[in-house]
Amino acid sequence: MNDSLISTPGAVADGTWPRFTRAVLGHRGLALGAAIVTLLLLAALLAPWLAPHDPYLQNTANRMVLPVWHEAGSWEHPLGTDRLGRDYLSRLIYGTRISLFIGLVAALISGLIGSTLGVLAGYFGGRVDAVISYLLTTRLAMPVVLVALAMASLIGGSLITVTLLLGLLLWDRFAVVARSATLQLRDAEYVQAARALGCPLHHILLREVLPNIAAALIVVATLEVANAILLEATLSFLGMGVQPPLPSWGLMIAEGKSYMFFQPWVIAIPGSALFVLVLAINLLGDGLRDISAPGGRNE
Amino acid sequence: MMLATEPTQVPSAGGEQPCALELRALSKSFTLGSGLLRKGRKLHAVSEVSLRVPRGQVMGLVGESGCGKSTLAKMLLGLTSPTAGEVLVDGRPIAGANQKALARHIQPIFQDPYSSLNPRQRIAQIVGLPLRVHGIGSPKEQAARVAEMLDLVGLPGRAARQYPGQLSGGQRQRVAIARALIMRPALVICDEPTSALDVSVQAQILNLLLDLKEAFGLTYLFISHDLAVVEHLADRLAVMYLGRIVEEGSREQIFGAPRHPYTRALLASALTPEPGLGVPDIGLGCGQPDPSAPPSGCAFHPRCPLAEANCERHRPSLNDAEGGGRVACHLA
Amino acid sequence: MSEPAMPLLTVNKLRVDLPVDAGTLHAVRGIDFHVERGEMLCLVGESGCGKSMTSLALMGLLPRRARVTAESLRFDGMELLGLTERARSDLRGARMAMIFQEPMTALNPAYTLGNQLCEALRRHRRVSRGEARERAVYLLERVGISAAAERMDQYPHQLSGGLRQRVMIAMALMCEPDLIIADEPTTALDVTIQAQILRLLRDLQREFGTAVIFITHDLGVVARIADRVAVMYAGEVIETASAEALFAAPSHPYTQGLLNCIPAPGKTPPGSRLQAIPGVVPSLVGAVEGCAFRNRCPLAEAACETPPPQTRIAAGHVARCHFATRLADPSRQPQPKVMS
Repeated sequence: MNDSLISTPGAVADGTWPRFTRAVLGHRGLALGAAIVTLLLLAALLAPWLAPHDPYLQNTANRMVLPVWHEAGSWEHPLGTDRLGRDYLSRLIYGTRISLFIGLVAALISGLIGSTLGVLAGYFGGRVDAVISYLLTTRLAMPVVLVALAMASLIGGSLITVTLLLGLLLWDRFAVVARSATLQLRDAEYVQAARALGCPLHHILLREVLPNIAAALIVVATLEVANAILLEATLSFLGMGVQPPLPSWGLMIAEGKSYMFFQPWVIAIPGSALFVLVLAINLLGDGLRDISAPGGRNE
Repeated sequence: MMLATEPTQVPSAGGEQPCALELRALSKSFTLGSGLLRKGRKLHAVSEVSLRVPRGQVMGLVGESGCGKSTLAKMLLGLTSPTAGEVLVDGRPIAGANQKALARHIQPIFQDPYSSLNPRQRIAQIVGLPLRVHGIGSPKEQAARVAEMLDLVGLPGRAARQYPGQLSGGQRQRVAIARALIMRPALVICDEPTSALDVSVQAQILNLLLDLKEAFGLTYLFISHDLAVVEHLADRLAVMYLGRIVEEGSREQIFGAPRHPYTRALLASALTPEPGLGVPDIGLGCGQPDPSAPPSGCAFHPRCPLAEANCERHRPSLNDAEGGGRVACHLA
Repeated sequence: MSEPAMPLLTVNKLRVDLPVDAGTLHAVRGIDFHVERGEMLCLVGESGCGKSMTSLALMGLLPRRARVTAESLRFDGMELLGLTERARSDLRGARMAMIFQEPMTALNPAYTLGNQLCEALRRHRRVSRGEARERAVYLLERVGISAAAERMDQYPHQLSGGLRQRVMIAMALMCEPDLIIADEPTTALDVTIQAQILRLLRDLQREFGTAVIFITHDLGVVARIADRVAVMYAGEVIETASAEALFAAPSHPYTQGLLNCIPAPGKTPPGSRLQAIPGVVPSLVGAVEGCAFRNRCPLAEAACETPPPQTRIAAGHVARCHFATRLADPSRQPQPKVMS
């Protein structure tokens, strides 16, 4: 029976949206991250209307046109064209689709796998936990990039392969977080009360446990989206990821690398885009973690 | 509202009405610190507890932390299965019964109203959950029963749409009581229902529990460490120490003439608001028992001011005492 | 140096404000009290009444975002307000010590008891290792720990809750402080252990002549150990009296309500309805007008919308209520309105 005045209930735990919105806007990093991610999501969705040119249209007469800030540049191709004369801005915008698609779908798949395993391990404990923990250790012992490279070279890289591979490889953090969060909730009195009522297992796991660990999982998810986007770029850069002519940012960097000493913008542009997206997602994730932590963030 | 299994035999002798709750030599042990390669130690959380709770009565269960009272409550609720012994509800063993059937007879009210309600659900969802799980009534009827129940426990109608975070501790405990009683169970396990509340709110909740007991003819197993509260509420009392009942009897017997030295020490250490009395010397020494390595013989002997050589060697059994009740002490 | 007649600690108009989402939480709203040398003052109240905030403010341990203001906080003739953090921390441990509710979190699990006890002394006094150790063993024995010399090399997790709280008491006494603030030190303990710890604290406090501010919600504890009592409600001290006077003639409706709502053996018939205090504590976010208790008070009238005066009942007995004089006199008890 302490004075419980210092700890105001967490914004999200309260379940009221105005509070949540206020918390988001009150957190500078979170607001900035959310704004950039929203903009890029819009760019991805509206790509056909935003892109000035067809990203696949080659024009050998217009190869390596300089971006608009160079003297030779023009507004016809604001970010110039690549070595096949394709409009760089259009490819960049369409590239957002690839990055976000892979990031979101891979995180979704790994989130489903990891959360399920983690919740089961945490809730049942004992032998179930031992088996799942063994799986987890095995997974942690595998170097993601090497395994992904090997698998991709075996199956052949493509958008779907990369997405599935990353989805199947990145579930470890979800499992760790879901397991420890569930472990804490397992003995919560409301879970006990639901068990005493004879609630079916799926009700207890989906209705009593999951909503209360969701905040932690969403934070992991944002970080895994960023992780997957970077890994996709890595794999594409190494030639084992998304295959040409798809406009992946990693692929754009790879295609531009032979020009980078004379035309550094060729890799600077997709590189910056990648940097901004990953930074924004990480800001979003960190911010969400701050505002969902009990007792609010530290100032 | 019958348990799944049929009564095996009528408990106790002579056509007596079955008790609302009967425990027969109930035991629970856990294995501590076991790993893949090593064998852990055994912790006997509850040992051979036998207890009868007559219908319509309040049985107080008193003891300090680690005495096994919470494990006992979990076994009664079907949350963990006993290692030995059995639990009978209305004369029928619960061992083969499914959880749903049991749930209609026994419901819990937990200690901490901050952790006993799911923070992500509205009050109406929380209180209506038992009806939904058991498929009682149409959604409309369920809503009506939830509203009626909230009214019965003294919550305003608007509480139905709120989340637990928007309610005070006392209000949350009312919600927990509404959830426990909405299916009209005969037996309620109250596990320290007021110890997390402020004293001014505690009285409100105790009054409510007493009113509801009258209204529905409930039987309570009331677990607490607060002797003043137990004395106020309970008809009978059982005192536990390190997993065993050391004394059991009516309220008058326990508070009027306690026979076990541990019961006496507990009563002496209850501080009533009477200035000038000072803090009593209860003479127990400063050792606290370790439940995983209980002392030999009478588990209380290292702290007992009256202990004799015999107490160290032989464990006293819980025998009927003169003048009613039972006590487990060589010297009683 | 100060005159002997002067109180050890005088608190004048202490306020603690905390910024929260919805505005400013006025956790402590201008309280006055004093502590005499060598006395046991109980600060009693329910959760959220500001009692812990008060103790943390006195120790200078509040989080940085909390704003502490006061007319004066005088400790042994020295003004605490405006002291540097360095000076405050020199004072802590040396002349003011604190005992927390949960000894496991207050003791550092990585160091032995001996280490922590000796460090408490050596940080503030120039003593040799041997002298510090000698005093630590002596105090461990004094707080009733057997085989004290061996215990010195143990770690906190090797002790039971009751023993840890004994160690905390020994640690608080290492530098012979003038004032110990004990914040619910027995709430986490079992009743039998609580009685032992309270007895120990009371005995040592008398022997060493240390003043103690004992913070609790338990009126049973207050009755048994307090010299004087300050009852807090909603960030204010609403009644101050000696322990005898408070329990004999409680003069604030809240104090009376608190005393009436605990079942008292022999007074309240078993199974009868208890006199509960209806309603809940008001929110302390934003301004509180008039008497903070009036929404729960059986005697509330229009007058209660103005701030209640400090009414002197007897020497050393003050209550903050418009009806305090009437309440103090049992023959003139006002009749409460019938409550549902």
